Amino acid sequence: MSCDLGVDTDDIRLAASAMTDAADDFAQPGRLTVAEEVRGAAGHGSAASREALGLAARRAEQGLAAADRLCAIARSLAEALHSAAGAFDQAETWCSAGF
Amino acid sequence: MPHITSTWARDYGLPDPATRASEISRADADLATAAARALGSVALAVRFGRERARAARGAIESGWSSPRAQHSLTALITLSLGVEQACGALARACTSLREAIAQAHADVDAAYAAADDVIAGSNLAAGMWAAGPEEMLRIDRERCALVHNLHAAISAIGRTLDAAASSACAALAVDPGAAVPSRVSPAVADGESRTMSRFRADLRAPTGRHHRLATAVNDALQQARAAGRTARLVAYDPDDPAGQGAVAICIGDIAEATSVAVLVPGVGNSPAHMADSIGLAEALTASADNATGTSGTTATVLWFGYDIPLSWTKDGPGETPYDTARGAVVDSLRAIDASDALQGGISLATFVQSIRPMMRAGSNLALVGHSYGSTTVAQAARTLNRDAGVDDIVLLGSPGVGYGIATADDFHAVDADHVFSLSFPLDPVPAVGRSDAIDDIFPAGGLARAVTLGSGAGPFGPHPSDESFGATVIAAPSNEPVDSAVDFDQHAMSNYLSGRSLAAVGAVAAARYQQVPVRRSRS
Repeated sequence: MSCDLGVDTDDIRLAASAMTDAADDFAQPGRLTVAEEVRGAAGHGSAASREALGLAARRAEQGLAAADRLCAIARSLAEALHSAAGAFDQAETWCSAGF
Repeated sequence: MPHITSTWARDYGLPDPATRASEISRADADLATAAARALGSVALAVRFGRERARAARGAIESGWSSPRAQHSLTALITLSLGVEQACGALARACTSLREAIAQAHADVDAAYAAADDVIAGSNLAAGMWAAGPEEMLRIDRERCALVHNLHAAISAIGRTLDAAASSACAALAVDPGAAVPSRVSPAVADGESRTMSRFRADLRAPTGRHHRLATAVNDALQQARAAGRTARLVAYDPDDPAGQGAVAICIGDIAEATSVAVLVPGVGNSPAHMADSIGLAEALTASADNATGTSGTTATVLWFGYDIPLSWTKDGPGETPYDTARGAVVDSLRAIDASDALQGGISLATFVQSIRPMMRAGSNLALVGHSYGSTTVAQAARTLNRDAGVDDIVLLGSPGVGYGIATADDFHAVDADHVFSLSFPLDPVPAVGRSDAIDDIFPAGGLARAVTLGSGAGPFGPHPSDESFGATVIAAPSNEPVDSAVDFDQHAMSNYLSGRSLAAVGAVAAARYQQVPVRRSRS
C-alpha cells in the first residue's frame, strides 16, 4: 500500500515560512513613528487645504490599515500551510503504520 | 505682532492681507509629508511582502497540487499589488500637495518681504505729522496701494494653493485598501451581540417600560428599512441614562461608510419617539452622500444617549405617578442651563469611543448637535482628545457650548478649523442662550455658576456663532417662513436639516469643506 500522498511537506513548510516573512513585511509600516503622525490628523487652512490634507491623512491611515489586513491574511495563510504540512506528515505516518 | 500693513488695512478700511496669509500659513506641509512617507512605506513594505508571497506560491506549486492553496496565495498577491500601486500613486499626490503648500508659504513670505522693501524704500512707515500736506497725501496713497497690492498678491497665492489642493483631492479619491477584506473584531461582535440580546428580550417582554421602549425603537428601525435604508441598532440600554433609555440607530452601513455623522438631538426629544427623527437622519445621510457624489458612502448614527431635558412628555409614564411627576419637574429644570450637557458630553464621548472600532480606518467622523444636543456635542469635544478620531463638530441652533470652553481653540477633540456653527437669525434659542432671562427667573443657577465658574458665565456658556468664539459660521438661510415674533419653528431640527443648511451640514459630514457656504471663517 502506497503512503505517498503526492505532496512535498518541505515545500509547504517553505511556503508557510515565506508567508510568515510576508506577514512581517506587511506589519512594518504600522510600527513606524510616521504612522502615529497621520492617524487622526486634521488638515488646516482654507476649505480646499483642509479637505486635501484631511484626505491625505485619511488615505495614509487607510493604507496602514490595508497593510495590517494583508498582514492578518498572510499570517492566517502561513498558519494554514503549517497545519496542512503537519496534517500531511501525520497522514503519511498513519498510512505507513498500516491505518 | 501684526504686520504694519494690517494696521493700515484697518485704518483705511481695506481688506487685511494677513487674513488670507494666516489661512495659507495654517496649511500644514508637515502633515502632507507625513502622509507621503506613510503611504510610501506601505507601498514598499507591501512590495516586499508580495515578493515573499510569490516565492510561497512557487513552493506550493512544486510541492502541492491543490489549486485552492495556490488560489489563496494568488488572491493575496493580487490584493497586495493593488494596495502597492494605490499607495504609490497617493504618496505622489501627497508629495505634490506638500510642494504646493511649501511654495505658497515661501510666496507669502516673499510678498511680505517685497512689501517691507517698498515701505522702507518709500519711507511709508514715517510719522505722518512731521511731513507736509502733500507728503501726507503721498504716504496715504502709497500705503493704500501697497495694502491693496499685497492683498491681491496674497489672494492670488491662496487661489493657486487652493487649485493645487483641489487637484490633490481628486488624486486622493481612492481608499487604497478598499479591496482588502476586513474582519469584525471579537470585541465589537461581542458588544453587538449583547445589545441585540437585550433589545430582543425587551421586545419579547409582555409589557412594561422596557417593552414600550423596545417597541418604539423597533418602529424606528422598521420605518428606516421601509424607506429602503440600512438601519442597525448600535446601542441599546433601557435604563441609562437616568431611566430615560440610551439608544443609537445607524442609518447606513457604519462598517463600510467613508463618513459617519453622529446626530445628537436637543430638548423635547426622547428615545421613546425616535421614529420622529429617523427621517432627519436619513436626510443627513443622503445629503452627505450627495456631497461626495456617491451613494452609500455615509452613515448617520442617531444618538439618544443622554438624559435629554424637556422630554418627559414623550418618555412615557414612570413606574408610579410620583415618579412621573418628579421626572417632569427634574426634566424641566435640566433645560435651564448647560449642567446636564456636562454629563451628556461624557456619555457621548464614551459612545464615540465605542463606535470607532466599528468604523473602517480613515473614515470621517462628524458630531452634529442641535439645540441642547449642540451643547452636549461641545462638551464631548472638550472631553475627548485627538485620539478619539472626531474630525468635525457642527453646532446647530445652539444655546451655547456650555462650560469650560471660551473659544473654538478650547476643544480637545478637534482643531478650531473644524468647528462649524449655524444659528438662524430668528431662532429664539440662541437668543435665550445669550440673554440673562433665565438667570432672572432662576437666580440660584446664576449664583451657583458665579461661585463655581466665575462671574460672567451665562447659563449655556459662549455662543459658537459669535465672532469672538472663532468657529466657522455656515451661511445658509432658514427654511421656515417667520410666523410670529417668537417662532419656535425657526429652531426646529427639521428646519436646520433641510434645504441649503442640510446641504452644508452634509458637506461637513462628508469632509467636503469646499462645498460649505461660509459666512465667516476663522482668521
